[in-house]
Amino acid sequence: MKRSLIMACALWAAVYAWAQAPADAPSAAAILARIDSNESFKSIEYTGRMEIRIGEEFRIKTMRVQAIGADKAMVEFTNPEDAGTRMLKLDKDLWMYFPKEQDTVRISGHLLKEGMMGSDVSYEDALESDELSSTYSATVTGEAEIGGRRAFVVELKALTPKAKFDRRVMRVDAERFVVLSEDMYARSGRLLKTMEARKVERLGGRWYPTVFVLEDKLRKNTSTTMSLGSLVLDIDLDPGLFTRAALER
Amino acid sequence: MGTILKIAWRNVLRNKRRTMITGVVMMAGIGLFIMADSMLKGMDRLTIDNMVAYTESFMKIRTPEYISNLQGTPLEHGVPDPEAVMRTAMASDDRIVATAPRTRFVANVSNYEDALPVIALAIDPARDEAVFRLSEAVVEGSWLDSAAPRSIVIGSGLAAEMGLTAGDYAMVSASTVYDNVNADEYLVAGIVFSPMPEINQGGLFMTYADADALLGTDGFVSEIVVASERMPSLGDLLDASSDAAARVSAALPGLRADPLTELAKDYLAMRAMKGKASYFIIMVVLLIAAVGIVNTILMSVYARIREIGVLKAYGMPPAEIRRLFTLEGVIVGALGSAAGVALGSFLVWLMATRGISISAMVGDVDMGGLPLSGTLYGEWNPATMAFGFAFGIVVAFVSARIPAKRAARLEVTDALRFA
Amino acid sequence: MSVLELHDLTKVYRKGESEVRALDGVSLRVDAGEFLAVVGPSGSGKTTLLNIIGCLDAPSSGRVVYGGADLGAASQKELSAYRKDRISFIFQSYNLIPVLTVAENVELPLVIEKRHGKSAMRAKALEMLAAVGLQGMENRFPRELSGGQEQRVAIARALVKEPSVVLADEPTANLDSHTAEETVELMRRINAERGTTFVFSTHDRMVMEKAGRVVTVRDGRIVSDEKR
Ligand SMILES: Nc1ncnc2c1ncn2[C@@H]1O[C@H](COP(=O)(O)OP(=O)(O)OP(=O)(O)O)[C@@H](O)[C@H]1O
Ligand SMILES: [Mg+2]
Repeated sequence: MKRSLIMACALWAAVYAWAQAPADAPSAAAILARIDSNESFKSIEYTGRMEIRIGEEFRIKTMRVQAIGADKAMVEFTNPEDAGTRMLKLDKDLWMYFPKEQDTVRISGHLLKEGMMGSDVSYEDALESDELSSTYSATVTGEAEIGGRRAFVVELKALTPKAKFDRRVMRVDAERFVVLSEDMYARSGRLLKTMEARKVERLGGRWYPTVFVLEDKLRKNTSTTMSLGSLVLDIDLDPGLFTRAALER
Repeated sequence: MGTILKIAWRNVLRNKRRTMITGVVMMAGIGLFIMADSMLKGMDRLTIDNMVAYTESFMKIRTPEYISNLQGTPLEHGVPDPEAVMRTAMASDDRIVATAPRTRFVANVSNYEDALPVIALAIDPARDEAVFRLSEAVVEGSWLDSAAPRSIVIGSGLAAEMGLTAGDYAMVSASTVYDNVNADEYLVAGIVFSPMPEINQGGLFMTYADADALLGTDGFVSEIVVASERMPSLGDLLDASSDAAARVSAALPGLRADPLTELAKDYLAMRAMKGKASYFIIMVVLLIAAVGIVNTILMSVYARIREIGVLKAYGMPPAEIRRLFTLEGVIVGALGSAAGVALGSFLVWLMATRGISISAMVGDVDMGGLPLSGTLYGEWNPATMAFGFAFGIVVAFVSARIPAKRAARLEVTDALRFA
Repeated sequence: MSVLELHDLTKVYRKGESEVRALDGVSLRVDAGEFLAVVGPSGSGKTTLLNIIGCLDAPSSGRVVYGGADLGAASQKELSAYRKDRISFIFQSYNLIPVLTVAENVELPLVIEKRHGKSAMRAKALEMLAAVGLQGMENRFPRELSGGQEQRVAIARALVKEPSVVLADEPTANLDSHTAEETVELMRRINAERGTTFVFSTHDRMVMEKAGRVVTVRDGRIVSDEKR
């Protein structure tokens, strides 16, 4: 019931946005749908490299990530200091396994919104598929040029208070429909986070940002550059991977 | 028996030096034990009083679901209809003098450079003041005011670590009831320095109006805190709390009122360990006293070998000879124990009337996370005094028997040869 | 009528390899009311003999018969009980209990005996003190007395329970000759008035002279036994 209401709203918003948009541009709803088809996934697998900058200092974390939708994820860190440390996320629960201590720690749900391993990338950012069409209404507010590419400026407003962000402003590649940069706002109106894609790659039939910079705006002078390697989307992953047994293997 | 007692008693008096030395050791041991115990009890009182005054209150009313998820500080399983709950709680026990709502949530405080996680509390400033003494602990700025929106009060350690002073702005972010992040900027209205390290290091207080806006809640209350009248002793306080909590729980189906014994469980368990340590001290001191008594009686035996010979020659049975010397030890022990109780009582009296300023004693040293500061007052504990006295006598009895047995076993001809 | 009989007593002390025969075949019969001195050189066995007579020690062989009862096989406990009833001692160094008053010292054997009530004991003690010429001294402590007075208290203490035998090992050795004479006179008088049997050892010729019978011991044997 709730879901269909949201869908109806989304549809209405899409129609409304289409009515407002410049003649040559696709509708805002269509843009969201194109982004979703590029960037949302049923499953994902990649080797990640986080370059965390705090002031003048840099820290590198590398990891291997496997995730299904928004609720199952397994991460294994591969950088020397954290080698063997594994993380299992099942919906809102998170466990971390420390190989040296052979100990598993359950991590409070609040942490899911915090930066992963001290970075600006939250667990949600790194591990969850982000479906836009069903959650936000959008309007195209203009155009911009980002790194030499033409982009639509799309403003997203949450249809539900449960949306990850209350408001998002995206610059979307006008040809490839990949988000090139984004500002994310809290319900209070505060800017929480920004994202900037540095590299967009073609994977099969879709475009996907494989290098991007995230900045947590509640902290000054920090940013994290995330690079995704050996990226594969929507493959079949063994559900047995996402178990406590696999975590402590 | 009369003559035996007479001989023992007069010998104790006759060997004043020996009696004094042993008696003083016992006196010191038992006196210090009584004092240490009184101090520990005083610390307990101070600690629990501080918990009551700053974090735990007299009891906490929450839902069982909330209690089982305590670690997660969820924004669900709150107290339904808090106003009615507070009225019922007030009505169900005379000792309850005030109640206030509180909501606990995890937040991040940021000065835009660093962010620190804190346990934040949404409060109703006026009502909270009737339960806790936080408003008196404000060292900079002022306590929260419902009329001043978007302000917070934070702990002094947190403020120092973030370089914040009253009048500065800080960014507070938190997980909302919708499970996303919200953040806003708040005026640091005041800074509190309390006896509770957890408040100083990670305490953040804001009004319900601000918390509702930040968290997307609508008057969600995670717990009701309760104030009682002042209780004369720690035991009374704990008993009253348990008793009142039982009544409140009974009056509020679906809710659970936890008394102090539950809220201060960890501290009380640790205290039990410390109590054992003080018994260890008395053991060591009384062991020294025991050696002293063995020695005193042994010296008495050697000095009076001929006397033992005479008694034996006139047919006194060994058991009575043993009794004679045991009695002598017990008299020394009883004198020492009585003096110890007297000394202990004096020290306790000093501590109970004057008090010891903890801050003056240890400065601003962190007491291992214990909420120990303010003035420590000794507590009277008759049971400890009785124990100290009885234990001193038992130790004297047991240790005097060793040389007394030796006296009883002496060969009469050997004893008389000293003639 | 004999109070006690000794039959062929020996007492051997062993010290490692060497053996000391302190008594070597002593036989003796003591009658009621005797005033008997045991004399002999130092180390001849006087104390050993008195200890055995006093049931403080057991002989290595031989028999001790008190009033017809053989105590040769008695245990320490039985000997102690026998002493309590029948035998009293006077020591060379008086051995009064320093923390007890004169009267309390005299009462002591009765206290140990546990046969009389408090006032009876006190009455007997005062009577004995009067008999030894110490009336009015009952509340003094031993340290407030002279040596002779102390020994008289010891005599009173020995007599208070009306024993069948009083044993005294060199009772006058610590006293000057005048006091020694007074003391032995007192013993003699009590012996005469009450018929109490005294057996005592001495080195003192004057004391020996007062005895009704003198037994001389040498190297653990009786070498002479004279009645006067
Ligand atoms: N407990 C003992 N152990 C070993 N030898 C002993 C013991 N008591 C006495 N003797 C020895 O037995 C012998 C007799 O000693 P005893 O004391 O009876 O002599 P005595 O006639 O009383 O001498 P004195 O006139 O010096 O008192 C001595 O050779 C003494 O050394
Ligand atoms: Mg001798």
